[in-house]
Amino acid sequence: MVEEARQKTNQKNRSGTPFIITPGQGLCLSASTLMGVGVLVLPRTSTKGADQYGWIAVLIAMLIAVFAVIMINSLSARFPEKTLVEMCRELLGSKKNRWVGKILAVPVVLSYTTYWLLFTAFVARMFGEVVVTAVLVKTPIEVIIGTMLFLCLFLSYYDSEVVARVNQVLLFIIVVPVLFISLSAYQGAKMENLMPILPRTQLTGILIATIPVLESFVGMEVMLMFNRNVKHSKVMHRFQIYGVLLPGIIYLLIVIAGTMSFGYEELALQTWPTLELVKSINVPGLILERLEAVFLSVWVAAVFTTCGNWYYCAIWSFRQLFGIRKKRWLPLVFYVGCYWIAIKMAQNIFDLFWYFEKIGYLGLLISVVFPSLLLMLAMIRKIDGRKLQSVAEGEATHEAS
Amino acid sequence: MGRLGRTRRSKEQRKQALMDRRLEEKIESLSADHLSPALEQNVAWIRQKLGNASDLVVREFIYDADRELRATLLMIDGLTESERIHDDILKSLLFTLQNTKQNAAFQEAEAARYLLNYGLPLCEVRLTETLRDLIDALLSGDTVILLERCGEGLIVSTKGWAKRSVEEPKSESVVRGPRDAFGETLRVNTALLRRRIKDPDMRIKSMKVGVRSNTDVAVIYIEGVAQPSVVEEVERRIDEIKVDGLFEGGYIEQYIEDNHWSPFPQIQNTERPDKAAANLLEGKVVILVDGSPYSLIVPSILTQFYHSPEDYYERFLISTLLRFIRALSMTMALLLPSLYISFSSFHPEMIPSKLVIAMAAGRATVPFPSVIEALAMEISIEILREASVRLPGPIGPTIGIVGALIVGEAAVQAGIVSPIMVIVVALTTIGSFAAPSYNAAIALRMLRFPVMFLAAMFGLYGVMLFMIIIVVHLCSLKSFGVPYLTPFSPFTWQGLGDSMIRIPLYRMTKRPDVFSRDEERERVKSASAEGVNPDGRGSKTENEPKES
Repeated sequence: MVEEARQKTNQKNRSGTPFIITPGQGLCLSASTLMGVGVLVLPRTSTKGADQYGWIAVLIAMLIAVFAVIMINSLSARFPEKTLVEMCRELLGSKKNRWVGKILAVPVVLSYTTYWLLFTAFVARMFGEVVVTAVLVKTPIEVIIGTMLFLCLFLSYYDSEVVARVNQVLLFIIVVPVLFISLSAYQGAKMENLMPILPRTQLTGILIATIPVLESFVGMEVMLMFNRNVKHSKVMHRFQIYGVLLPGIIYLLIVIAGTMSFGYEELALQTWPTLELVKSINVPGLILERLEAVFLSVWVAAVFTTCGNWYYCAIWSFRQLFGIRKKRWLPLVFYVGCYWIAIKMAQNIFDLFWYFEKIGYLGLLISVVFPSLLLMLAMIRKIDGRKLQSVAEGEATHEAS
Repeated sequence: MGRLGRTRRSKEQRKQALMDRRLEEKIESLSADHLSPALEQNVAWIRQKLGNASDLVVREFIYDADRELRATLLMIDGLTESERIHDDILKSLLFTLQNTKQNAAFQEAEAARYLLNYGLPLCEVRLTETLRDLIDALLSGDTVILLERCGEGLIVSTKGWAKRSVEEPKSESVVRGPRDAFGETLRVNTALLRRRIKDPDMRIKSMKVGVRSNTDVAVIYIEGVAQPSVVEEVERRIDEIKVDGLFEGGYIEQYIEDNHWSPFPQIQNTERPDKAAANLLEGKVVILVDGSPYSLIVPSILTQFYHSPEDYYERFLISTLLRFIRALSMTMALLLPSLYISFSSFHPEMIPSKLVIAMAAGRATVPFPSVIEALAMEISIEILREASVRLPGPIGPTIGIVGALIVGEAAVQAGIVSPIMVIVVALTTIGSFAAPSYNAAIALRMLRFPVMFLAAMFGLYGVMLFMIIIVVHLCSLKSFGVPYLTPFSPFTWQGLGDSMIRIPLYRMTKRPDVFSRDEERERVKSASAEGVNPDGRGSKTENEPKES
């Protein structure tokens, strides 16, 4: 009886108005997807070519990311309440022959799906490596990866409303301690490590460093899938840009703190420079003597929001692409796949960094180049769902009146 | 001889049986919908329906001696106020009733209406034509008067059973605030709410739940403030309950809650009328169940469970501080043992070195790993707590002293547990007592154990894994369509003012929009606060205190 009642309420809820992401949730979705494991190595990758001007590379990367967000926004605004899959189908196909779009969308969407899955796996692996080296020395890395992916699996059984909310709540939990940590990392900062502030010689080096830095800015492309629940407005678009600026500012703080306290020569030698930075912090009052375990446990949430969102989008896009209705097995299959990739692909940590870089390039392709191309295509073909919708709405109001 | 006698007896028996059957047929021919004009038949029907109950009192009398008009009074002993029946019903019908001959309008078929108009000096009297009504009335403590040759019966409200008076709340005590609590009688409870909200828009809808217990349930809300969809949903879910009987609001809670498997309560209960009334003003729906001193409040969100009505009675700085303390203590109740486990067995480098030495010295004699130590202590404190709840009043504290002081001290001296562990367990327990609502505290007590296991396996990483699972679960929870984590996600500035902190009352100018319809009646700033807040577009109406 109760079961029946519950089913009825579920049906009632389902048939109700669809969930709409608030601007704040949009901000949190992109911001928390962006903040992942990239920041753990960011001080090293950013100063690799640019020396002490790493922060300028971060600044440039941030601007490029903002540009990418604007691209993604204007692309998805053309297809209101449609996910990436439907977008591609409409963009690449014609109205007469719908199958053309269906077939042409497959490689595009599949590249997104594989990228999301690969990145989930590698982020989990990367995080596992950090945890195993820094805090849980005796724990096998397989367990850490397995539990992290299990969280993603757990999240993937809920609907997009829950994902948006989880991101919103976890962003609070992530940002507040991380801001505290990145600010108190300035305790050992020396200004001379940053001097001279304005670059004169290093310009190409900065540009080269921008690319690996950009890799820690990928993630806003998940909004292409969550576009299903987005109602486009100026506020929404502005908050999307804030969603990139917030992690950008945290990255800047950390990179500057790293450069100032260690100097770029030393940073190049450290595997996990951000972790070293956290270790150097003295807590006033000596409540806790070392902070890296706290930092890493906060970072679990950050990594989870990255992995979880990507994993969710991978499953969502795959399911929509092939019209899979059943909910149970697909996440499990993907779980096994991710786990296998995470454990077997990279032999050691250098291998891992190598793969990470390569996948990062793929990420640039996926989150910056692809949306731009799709937007150009949409502009050329003059496909704009907004007009259609507004016309339909106008008719509806006309009829109603 | 014997044979003859037997046949004769059997003939008599057969006759008797025939008579009985005829009477039975007659009684059965009475449908539950209509009273028969024959008095005996009605009475026999009621007697039969109640299975000749021993507590059914049947008093036959003649109310008009001249015309020999007979009447029967029925009631159930113990549920009724007998003084009222003697003084107001029997006395007036037997002694003071005017002779019917003097009144030309009197007709026997209309006798019930005549008595209603002239004979019964009581206000709660009604007429009915159906037998089922009579049975219901009898069973809920009313008195039934049936009249000869009259197709209508009289139901006189004489409910009066042994009940408690309005007492102080037992489980939600406050330092400052009203001291009355709901009781077991539904009418008293609704009256307590009416006394606080003198609003014609307050709706009290009665429902009957329970196939056999026929318990009265009241759904109370304020029209125009509560969301109609929520009210509808509440009524629909209560309607769908099919159960033999229910004796506490908890039955209803378990049937209508959204997620049955969640450790978190999604429906708040309170025995304080002031809290219930304040929630009504916020646009929530209050459910009262006859026989239970606890009212249910729907929809509920997480933050409500660490709010106390006192928060609104004290000045806002004090209440904000108290809320922080409560949130802290509930976090302690959930996480302290697992933090101890993860610090002591995984991350000793994080603890200041002097403390680490002291802890190691304390743990030197302890033969178990810290997780076993913590588990043993937590389980024994749970046993203590359960034992002290079950014991009669004066012995309860004794158990606490014996358990906590003597056993704890002895365990430390025997070297089974470390002194720090005792401190941790004590703080955990005290922390969970600081939670104003019992069911939320139980959720935390329950969740403490899985975190301890995860902490024993993965240290702080495990604790965080658990927290993320809890966050995901909380985000997926909804109480009657309202997201459980409401002021935080979906985030509203307005809701945040009454969550972890409490902003001053004059700043609370609107009802929380997740619960109520704001456009109908907006709360306005009080005149007295205008001086404090110069840009307030002031008004004359009084500010309603906002509570949860």
